[in-house]
Amino acid sequence: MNDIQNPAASAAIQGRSPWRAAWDSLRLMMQDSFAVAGVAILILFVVTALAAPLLAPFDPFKAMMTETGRLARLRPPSGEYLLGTTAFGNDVLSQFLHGFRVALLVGLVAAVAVGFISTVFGVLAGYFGGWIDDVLMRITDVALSIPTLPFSIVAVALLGPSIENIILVITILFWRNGARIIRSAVLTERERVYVKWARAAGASHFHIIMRHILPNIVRVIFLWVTMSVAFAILTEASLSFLGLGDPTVISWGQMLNTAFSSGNLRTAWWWVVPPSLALVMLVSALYLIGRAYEEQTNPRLRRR
Amino acid sequence: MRAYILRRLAQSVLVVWAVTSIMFFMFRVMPADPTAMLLERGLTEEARQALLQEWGLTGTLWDQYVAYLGNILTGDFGSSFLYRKPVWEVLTPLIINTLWIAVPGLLLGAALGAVIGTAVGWAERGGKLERSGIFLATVIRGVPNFVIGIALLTIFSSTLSWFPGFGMGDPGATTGFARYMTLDFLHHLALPLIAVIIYFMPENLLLMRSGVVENRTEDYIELIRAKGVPQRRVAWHAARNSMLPLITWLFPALAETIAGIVVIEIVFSWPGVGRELVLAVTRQDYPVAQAAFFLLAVMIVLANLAADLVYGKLDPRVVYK
Amino acid sequence: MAASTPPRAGTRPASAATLAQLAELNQRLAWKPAARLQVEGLSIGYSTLRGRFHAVEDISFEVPAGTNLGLVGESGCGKSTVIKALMGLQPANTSVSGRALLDGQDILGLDDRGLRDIRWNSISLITQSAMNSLDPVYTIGDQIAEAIRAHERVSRATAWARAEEMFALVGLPAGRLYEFPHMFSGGMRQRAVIAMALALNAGMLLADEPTTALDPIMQSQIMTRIRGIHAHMRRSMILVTHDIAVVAETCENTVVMYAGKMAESGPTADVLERPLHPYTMGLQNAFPRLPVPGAPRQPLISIPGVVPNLLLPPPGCRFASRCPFATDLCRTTAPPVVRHGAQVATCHHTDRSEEFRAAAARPETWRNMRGAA
Repeated sequence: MNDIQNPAASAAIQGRSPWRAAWDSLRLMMQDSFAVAGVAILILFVVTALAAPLLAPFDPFKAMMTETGRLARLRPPSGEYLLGTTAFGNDVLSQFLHGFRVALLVGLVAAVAVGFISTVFGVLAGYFGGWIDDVLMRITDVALSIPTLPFSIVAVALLGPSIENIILVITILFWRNGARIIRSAVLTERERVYVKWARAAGASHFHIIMRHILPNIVRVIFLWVTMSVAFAILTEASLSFLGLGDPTVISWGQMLNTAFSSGNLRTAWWWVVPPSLALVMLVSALYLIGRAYEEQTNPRLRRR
Repeated sequence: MRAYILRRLAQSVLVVWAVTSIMFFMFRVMPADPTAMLLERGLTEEARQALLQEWGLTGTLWDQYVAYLGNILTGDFGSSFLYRKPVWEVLTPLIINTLWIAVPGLLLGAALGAVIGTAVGWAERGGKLERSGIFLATVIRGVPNFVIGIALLTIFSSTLSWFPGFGMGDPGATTGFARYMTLDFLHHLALPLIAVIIYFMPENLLLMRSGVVENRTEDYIELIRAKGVPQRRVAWHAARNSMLPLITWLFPALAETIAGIVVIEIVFSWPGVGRELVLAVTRQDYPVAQAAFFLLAVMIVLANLAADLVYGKLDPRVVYK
Repeated sequence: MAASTPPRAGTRPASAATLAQLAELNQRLAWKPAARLQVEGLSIGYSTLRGRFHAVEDISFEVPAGTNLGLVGESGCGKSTVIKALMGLQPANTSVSGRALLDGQDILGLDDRGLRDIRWNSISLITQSAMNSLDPVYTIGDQIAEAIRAHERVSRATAWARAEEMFALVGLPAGRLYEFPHMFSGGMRQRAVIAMALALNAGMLLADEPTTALDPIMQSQIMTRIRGIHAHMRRSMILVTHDIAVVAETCENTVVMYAGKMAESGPTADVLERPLHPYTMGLQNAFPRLPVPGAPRQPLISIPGVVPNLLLPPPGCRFASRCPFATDLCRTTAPPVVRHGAQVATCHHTDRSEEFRAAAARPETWRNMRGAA
């Protein structure tokens, strides 16, 4: 066809760089004021997590002693202990600051693992179809009926409560929804005219996936990664709250578990409020960002 | 229609079978020996073998699997290591307790979310109501369910003492089925139920709002407006059409939510299946843990089936084949 | 089927109370006179991200009681916008100015309450795409009854009985009232929408391209039906279409719109036989005509070019860029409104219309134009 010589047509066959598309999508997301608030909170949390060992005044596991040599139990906030102490004499501020690291580690690893696995499987199943697609659909059919938290409880209890196992279980649980969502996005992209053009012009499958499919589903991937991070953080917090957290690290869920099971919910507000608030802020921030991507991926939600 | 239900049921059975199998192999690869805790109590080797036989823990993995499936088919989950009685006896009352907070909680949460979501979706685009509605719903959706529980517990139970925050009834309260009919029970039910509603509502609200926003610019809404019916009635048409995608979305959401009730049961010490699951896992009472997990999975499968059938009722275009 | 076994309609005898109420309702509705509509200086503007623009500018026309008016023009010329504004259905960021007097009452800028009162009571709508304009999850009968009961205090049974009568009027069996829109074919849906528009016997009907989505045979069936109903019920109607042949058969008066402005208006016979505006002449060429025995076959001639961007309207006549007769005056100065008897045209050169008409009938006139552009 003559059209191939036409610059617009050849640009259409060239497609877009996926990085460029990701950047455009980020910029578009930042036009939503709620999402900007979410990103600001996220940055604040990341910085705090990185600086936590420097900021924390004490070892989070160290029991504080008074001058008389007794355990400094349930001290309200003061100049010495800015956020008071726990029932076991630990400094709440130090524990709280270390909690940032766990939450963000879980979120980050889950995002990378889930994002990567979902994308690979979703793209393969959606683009090539065939047995990969069949297997994926059967797996997700079953997996969607597995109650997530009970599964995590049993699995973590059986594998042993460690942060690695928790992340493993989260990855096993959450890749499936992502793969399914990305698969259907790929299915619609695959049928577009420019993909058929590119095929006709002799482009390779790899080229089509990288420059035509990926750039157009990048928002869906971002949406799903944001949601996975939120789910992962919530799942870790829930498991820790249920007493199935890694005993060698301190997370917000564990702090709340200790406060709850030692019966100090009402009295020791300084122990309960910071981790609760941090969890709410972090997860809400992620949801606010996710919402902006949702509006992007659904053109019918845009303002006219 | 009947053929469709039968086929869906068969599918559900298949899913339940898959979940059960996953569960079986998960529990078999566990590092701990279930009889270890009993050995410490000085069982003789013969007694131990007898117990293993009773629990179906002898023979090859395949034999165990077949025996296990056979047992489940006959409704036999074995007996609890801890309570020393059949698992069914342990769990049956707990199922009812879980349903007491799950069913009204999910229904009220969905209904409330749908109503408020419609109002937010019908509000002026970019206006105050829309923006604050979306913001609040997103933030509440980000509150972990145990934080909801802790907040309710601290405020309404510990501080204000309006509601009890523990269990299902005061000591010495009526027992048996009659207890569900007492005011005392309702009093205890209030906080966990509210927690489930708050936990479940925001997602419904946001989905409903998206649906209404999508539908309000459709041609058929314009014709309904042109007919001169009241605004409220026009909004109802948009809402009624938005329920369809809402129900398909609820499908995966339900699994998360039923699972989330586990945590709420723990916070309020509500004696349900989810709480028993956590307790059984920490006590290494595997038969109970297995059965509780199985029950939760079955509840999710049934909820999905119900969602499917309700969808058909709501959308005249659906043809069951 | 999910919601299968719809109750058999029509076979269910109505109760005496329903029949009495229906008779009373019918009598009340039959008494409604046809409405007269005078539109004066109607302008409709949108503010978009790229600035404000006028979708419709300074349109005036009159629909005498009991007559049909054809509103013709290419897609995107603002016909549907006019209809929406008359129903008060314009989007929120729209400014509407001018007046539209329905039996003397200005219906532009009514509040919610006032709009609700006139909608369907005095002015009703036959929508453009009957495909999407029915709520998919309600039965057709429910949707007609909803319109009736929004304005008349009658029982559900009475509203349904009235809907049955309307169905009979458009030639649909009463039993199909119990069906959902997806069970109807396109033509049946269009008839259902017409039945709905007639439900309260409004004095003024606005038909917004009622046949666009249908195949030609169905189009002519529907138009025949509409003309039949018009003859029978004597309502006033504005018929929006781009099919000049339909206007010729149906409408006493015609308004030709181009790019948001009125090009020409007047009695249909005059406008079509002696068009004053070159756009009307071009429009006539663009539609197939049955060959007259003996006369040479008329070729189809389309008007070259596209409608100008309304965000940046040209300074002179909006048709100038596509007009084979355009002069420098046309490109720089907005044309005046010129009256020739009952006919009105917005053109600088109405005095040369005779000469234009002769030239416009020749395909070369338009083809050369394309070369020039």
